[in-house]
Amino acid sequence: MLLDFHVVLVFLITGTLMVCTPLLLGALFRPKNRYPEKDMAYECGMDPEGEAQVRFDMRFYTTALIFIVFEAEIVLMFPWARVYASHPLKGLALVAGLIFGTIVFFGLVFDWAKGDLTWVKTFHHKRRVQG
Amino acid sequence: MIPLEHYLYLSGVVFTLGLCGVMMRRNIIMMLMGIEIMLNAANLALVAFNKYMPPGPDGTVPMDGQVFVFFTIAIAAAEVAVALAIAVALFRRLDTVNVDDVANLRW
Amino acid sequence: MYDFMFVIFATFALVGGLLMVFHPSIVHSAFALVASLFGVAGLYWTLGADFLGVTQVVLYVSGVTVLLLFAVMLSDKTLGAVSILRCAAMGLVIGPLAMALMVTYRAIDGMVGTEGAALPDPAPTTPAIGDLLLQPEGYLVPFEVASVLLLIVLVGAVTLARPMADRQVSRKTIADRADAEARGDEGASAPQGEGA
Repeated sequence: MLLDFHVVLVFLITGTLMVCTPLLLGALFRPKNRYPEKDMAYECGMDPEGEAQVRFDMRFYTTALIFIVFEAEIVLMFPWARVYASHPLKGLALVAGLIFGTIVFFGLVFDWAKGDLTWVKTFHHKRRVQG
Repeated sequence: MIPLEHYLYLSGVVFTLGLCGVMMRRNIIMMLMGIEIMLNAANLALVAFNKYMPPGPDGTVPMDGQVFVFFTIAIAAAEVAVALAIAVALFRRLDTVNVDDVANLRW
Repeated sequence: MYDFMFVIFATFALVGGLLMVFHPSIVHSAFALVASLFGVAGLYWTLGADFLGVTQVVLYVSGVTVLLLFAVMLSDKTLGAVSILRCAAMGLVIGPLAMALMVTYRAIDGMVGTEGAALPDPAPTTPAIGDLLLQPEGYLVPFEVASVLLLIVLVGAVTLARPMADRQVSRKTIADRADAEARGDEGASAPQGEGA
């Protein structure tokens, strides 16, 4: 029946309630006394400087990009893995999966060789020479 | 049981919303979000059609619609990765994500 | 139960989409997109496509959204003002298009009918998809070509995302430059941390 996914719905509703109920209760009972100093971001007692929303480093994006490509690979290979054990043509299934994995693996090798996986790119060689 | 019509109308409305998003906003990232919504509306229509297709002569349940959507989702992830890389490169080179600012091909 | 789930998830999809299109902040738009995509995943579940629903959650709701948010954080968050002229043009184009879409759907629905509605209880779809993926006359070739696409993304997108200075300079040149810096410029002028 519905492949048991109504459990997900129950989970969703319960989770939403568990977040919203304490917030609602807090809003009903807490004293309301706001002033500018209290609304300030807390930075170890100092006045906060600059903006909270800084621009991120590009390397985070590269990492997320490589992550999502391999996530797509896993999703594409999942049905293959599911039927592999019981497939009548074992050889074909094995070769298909191997070709798929190898082709994507070349992409990882390329990124590795180009140095996109190293986090501290510029300082890496300097440290090796000195130490 | 929900008739096929409901899924199709929902898909149409969601598609229109995505189109609104693409046409109203000039931020390239917002336009990509609109495209994602449109892709999802099309996927929803495909899965709904697959579900309501009559079974084959030997009683097999058709699965082609689901396989289409399966590939579409995986490829859309790849497409978003490339498109956002272009958007970020554009911002770092020209300091803008507004598509009207990059209307000419060479600069 | 089906009706209840359909209403809940359709509301997710619609309200999420509406918020995404009309919210003035791009970060809020991205989170509204999460709600909308999750609603679509739930609709897949009501249609008996369990594997697709999970795929949607794994790839779209988590993966694509993370990328979108990173892109938002990497660029500026200001949104251009929406012009009245553009809205009018949009109404002129989108209104008839939406109507045409509805009429087409109505016609298709009349042709297809709803015979499939009385299908037997849905079974897990993953093995069926896997069998189709491994059939040479099925989807074996698209499956392999998808891996080539992923390879292209790994090479192309990472190259696009590489910092500007490194794009022309090969890794060896960077290493040489770093070595030279470490050897020669030590006493003369201590190289401060590179800016970019």
